Amino acid sequence: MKAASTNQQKSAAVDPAWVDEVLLAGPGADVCLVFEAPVTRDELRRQVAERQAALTAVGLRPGGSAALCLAPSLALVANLLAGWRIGAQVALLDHRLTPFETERALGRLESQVVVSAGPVAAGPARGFHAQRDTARARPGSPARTPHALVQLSSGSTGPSKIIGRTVDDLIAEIGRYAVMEGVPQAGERIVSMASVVHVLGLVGGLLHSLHAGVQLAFPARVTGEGILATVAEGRQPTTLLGVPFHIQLLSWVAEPPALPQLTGMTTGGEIVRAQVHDAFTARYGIRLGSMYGMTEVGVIATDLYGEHRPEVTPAPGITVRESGGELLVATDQSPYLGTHDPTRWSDGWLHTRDGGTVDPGTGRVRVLGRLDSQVSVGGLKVDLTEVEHTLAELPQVADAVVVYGTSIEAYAVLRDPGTGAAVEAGLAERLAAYKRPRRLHFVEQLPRTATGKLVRDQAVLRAADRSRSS
Amino acid sequence: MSEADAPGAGPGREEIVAILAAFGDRPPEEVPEGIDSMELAWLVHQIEERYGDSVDDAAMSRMTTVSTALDVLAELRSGRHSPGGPAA
Repeated sequence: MKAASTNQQKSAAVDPAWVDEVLLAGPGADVCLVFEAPVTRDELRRQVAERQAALTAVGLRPGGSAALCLAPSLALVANLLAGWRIGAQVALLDHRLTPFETERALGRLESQVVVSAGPVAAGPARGFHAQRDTARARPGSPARTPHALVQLSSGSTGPSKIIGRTVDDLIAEIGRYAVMEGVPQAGERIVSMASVVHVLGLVGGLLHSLHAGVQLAFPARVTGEGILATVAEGRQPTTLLGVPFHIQLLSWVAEPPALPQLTGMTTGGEIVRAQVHDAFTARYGIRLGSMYGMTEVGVIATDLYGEHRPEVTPAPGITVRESGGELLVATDQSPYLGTHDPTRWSDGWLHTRDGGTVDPGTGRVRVLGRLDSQVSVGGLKVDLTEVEHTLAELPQVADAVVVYGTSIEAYAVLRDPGTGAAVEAGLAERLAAYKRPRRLHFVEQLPRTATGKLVRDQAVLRAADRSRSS
Repeated sequence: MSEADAPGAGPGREEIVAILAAFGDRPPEEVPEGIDSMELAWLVHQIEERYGDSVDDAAMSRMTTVSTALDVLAELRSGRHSPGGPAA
């Protein structure tokens, strides 16, 4: 197996050979990706070489650092592989971040090169976009760590965490996918709705597919019908990859066409509710599997045939244990850049901040939910603390609480009445749309406990809101 | 389909809010004015099912609030919507 040919990383420069060995090897005429049109491996190599020249031209060197601010696209894939092929550290930023968030992230990452494109149009969800990418140099620093991939997490306290993955670590995860039963293999096809900038879509979709010889297709339109239309375009056995919302989209299709090639669906991002699971399997009669993973590690445990719901089995080579109600995962080193927080990683154990249990008999893991204030909005992780801090820091706001019921809701006290519009504008500037409170209530004062702590009970908060409007 | 008996009659605000409320299992008074991408997918699916309308991408991209969704759907049903998007 190619994934076994592990490269040793000693310096900050990332050994570029793995891109060709692990990701770009294989027959040149095979279609490996499908966006607007099929992309053969030869075409992908050509696109990667083109981006490599462009990145080199703006000064990216082995050991350098680049950030990609691109929507899911062939341009994103080509730039990522090109950056790695140069031997640089590549950071992926979600294109949905506001310019304010992107600038702040670039400042923290100190990327030397940034690749961006014009904003994508609002409207219906698309599985990919046409991106006219441009690379430019910016004041930054070379990579300070040997990580090949850098991603930002929504941080539970203060700024977001910077998470790094080494080539060894990525190759190990690709290796896990290669041996897990129920993962599509050579000659099969994945239709992915999972974003390529997040770990499920990136490693479980893109990197695994390129490595294993799986054709990876992205639906033009992410609706139930749109996803099924993309499935119908191929004849290979096809697995869908997405988050629970995509299961719902598919369940809404009243009479799905007969698609014998559709063999299953795998989801990650959050726990699938039983009724959503049952509605989907009743309609499609195919396996619905789930994955548990996180940006820091990639795939941790799976139940790809939906046999042990809601339990998941640790992936090969992954050790999970429970400590004080929290799930811990064994990792050689801390995945966090620039911070040494022993409450996140210590002595070879990563604290997932997920509550859960491990069955001593079967070893299977039950994930019970977050222990901190992180929530999942359509599979995207949002930390309520980040939202609350951002809101409370606005000059018009005296006090704020952010809670989550069916959506993110905020209760805020204004310093001066009539400045609500300015608060909304401030949030729109500082927070990506998916992180913003769906409902913003302005109240006279926030309810507090006898000891002065802010009350986060939604019923009490609603009562405070009602008393103001009455 | 019965809601669409009157020619040109589209969904009213109450129906739109009821559709959105059903998506999040929440009471209608908790439906925000803004529509996010997941709610939009559900809303358009429901409208297409109930009224047989086809809501194209340009129309969808304007449906960011309950009010603009009502406007767009009214335009669609009166035939004033041009698939290429607003003429301006």
